[in-house]
Amino acid sequence: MSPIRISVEGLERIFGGLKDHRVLLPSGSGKKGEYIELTVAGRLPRECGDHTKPSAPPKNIIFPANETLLSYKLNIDGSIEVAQPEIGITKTILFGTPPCDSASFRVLDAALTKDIPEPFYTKRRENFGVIGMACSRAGKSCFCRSVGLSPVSEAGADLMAYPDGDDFIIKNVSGRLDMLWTLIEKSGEMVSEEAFEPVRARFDIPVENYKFSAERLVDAIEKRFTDPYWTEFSSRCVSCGICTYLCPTCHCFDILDVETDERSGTRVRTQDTCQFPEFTGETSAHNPRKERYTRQRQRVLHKFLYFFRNHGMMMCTGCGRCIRYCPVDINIAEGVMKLGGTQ
Amino acid sequence: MTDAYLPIIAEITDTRLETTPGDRMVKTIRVQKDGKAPFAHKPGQCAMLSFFGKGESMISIAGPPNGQYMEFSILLQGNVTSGIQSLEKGEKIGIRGPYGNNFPVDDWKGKHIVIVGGGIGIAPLRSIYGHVLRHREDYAGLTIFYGARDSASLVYRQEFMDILKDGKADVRLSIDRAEPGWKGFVGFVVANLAEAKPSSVNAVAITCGPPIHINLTLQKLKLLGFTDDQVFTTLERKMKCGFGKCGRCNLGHIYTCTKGPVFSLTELKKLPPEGLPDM
Repeated sequence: MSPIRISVEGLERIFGGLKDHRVLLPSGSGKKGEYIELTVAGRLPRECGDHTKPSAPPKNIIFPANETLLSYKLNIDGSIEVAQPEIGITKTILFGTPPCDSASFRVLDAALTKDIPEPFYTKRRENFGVIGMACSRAGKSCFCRSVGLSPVSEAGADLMAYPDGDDFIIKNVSGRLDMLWTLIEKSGEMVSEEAFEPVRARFDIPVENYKFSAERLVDAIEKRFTDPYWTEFSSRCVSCGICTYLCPTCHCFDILDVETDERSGTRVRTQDTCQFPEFTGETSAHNPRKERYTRQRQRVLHKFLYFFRNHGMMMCTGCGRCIRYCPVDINIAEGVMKLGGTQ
Repeated sequence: MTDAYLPIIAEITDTRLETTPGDRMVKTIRVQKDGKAPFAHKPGQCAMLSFFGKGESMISIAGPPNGQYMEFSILLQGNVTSGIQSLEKGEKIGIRGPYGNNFPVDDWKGKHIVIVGGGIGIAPLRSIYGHVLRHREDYAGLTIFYGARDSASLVYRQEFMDILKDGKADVRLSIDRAEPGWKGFVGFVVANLAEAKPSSVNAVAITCGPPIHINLTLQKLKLLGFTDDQVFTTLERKMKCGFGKCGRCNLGHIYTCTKGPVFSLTELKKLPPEGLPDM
């Protein structure tokens, strides 16, 4: 399928005419950044980079931090009623997603939709599409190339937009957004591979930070489970969990009951973090990850060893949020380089 | 598909206090759904029990499948277990499962089965010896070592007396300190094991109990000639979802709720030594 050249206004018209979809855009970086809804007649971003990447990762759009799994009612006659809520589904298209954030959905799909699927994520995912955008500016915390991605990688994207003046050149990556693709095809013009390549190449920029080889790291890191470096790596950690909450791929959760009154309440799924000691603390007081360094080690190994073992990909997209927003400047990229990933 | 978290509402059709009442008491509950077991399971698998308002706990199913009912032996520990202990016969309970792998009891046919249980750790092992007793002719022998702090803390005490009387197994009970009238062994389970010296020839040993119990048992079994392939255990880990998604029960890349809780010592030694007994 050839890429299509479409004007920014042409695409804005298509989005403006979508009746049953909402379109979300990155609002820009910084602490108030998130993916926000495109308003009617709203303008689309014409570029994408570390400066447009919101602090809040896009995972929460289809895997919210808190979610009611069921409600229960304890009746006077001793019977128990359990009801599931309707899964609230709004057909959603994410537009202008940087490649690191697009790729996070490939990770989450592997983590949450296999074997017995996480039902709420899986259901919302069916009604969720990603239009990634080639990235024109890497920030100083970015390291996508070290985890097998790049400013032009299309992993996790359904369509991929390459900005070119007042136009986008759009590639159909997954075939999942056929209805939208048909509209784009109708409004735009086909572009030959020869004409597309120089546009693509413009975004194929180097990312100079933290050069390591994630693949080589897998072998090296496994042998260093008991390395004293883990203590040094985590010595300043305050176990706040920000690195995991803002991570676009971290997906661990807790389940707990919230009583409305003595006879009714809800059971909720809530975002959790491996950085809290309670994450693995058993009621018997046994805790396999009591020490802080064991919890940071779990974060790093889950991303760069365990997930690779189970799914053949890294649970890290190099977006750099955990580096940028850590209050005590713990740097996972520097850490893994010291642990054997240096090129 | 959306019901992965949804418990079945089942009925408690019997309860037994296994120990003397107190802050570490054990109560066994029998659970049925419409007069049958809520779902099928294999020896060693677990179920997530709900006490609505307090939450869920992953509890091993104490006994082999019988189609009729499931039993759970609950040690009083936290909010959920104290809630479940407060339930009486006729009351309802939420249950989902089964979760995890199972003891490979079919692979063990023809072998001598050696059970080494400590404290409440006997509950998951009941699924093995229960199975072996029911298919006794398939196995070369059954020896059960089991101990607790004192005689009042021994779970399934009457059941063990009955097994002894039937002569279908060699049952060796122990308590940590001497008590008037106690005719069994006095000392730790591992000391009982050391004195009895079960043969490792054509045998498998399965242990479960507090970490110190497992540590000492593994050391002693090695001295008795048991290889890593002949030794199995079942692990306790905090679990929330039960189907490999919530991310906390991992041992390296293995989630205990799906690929565990049953491991041979050979398998355990391939995994990172995180929160494991000294092997």
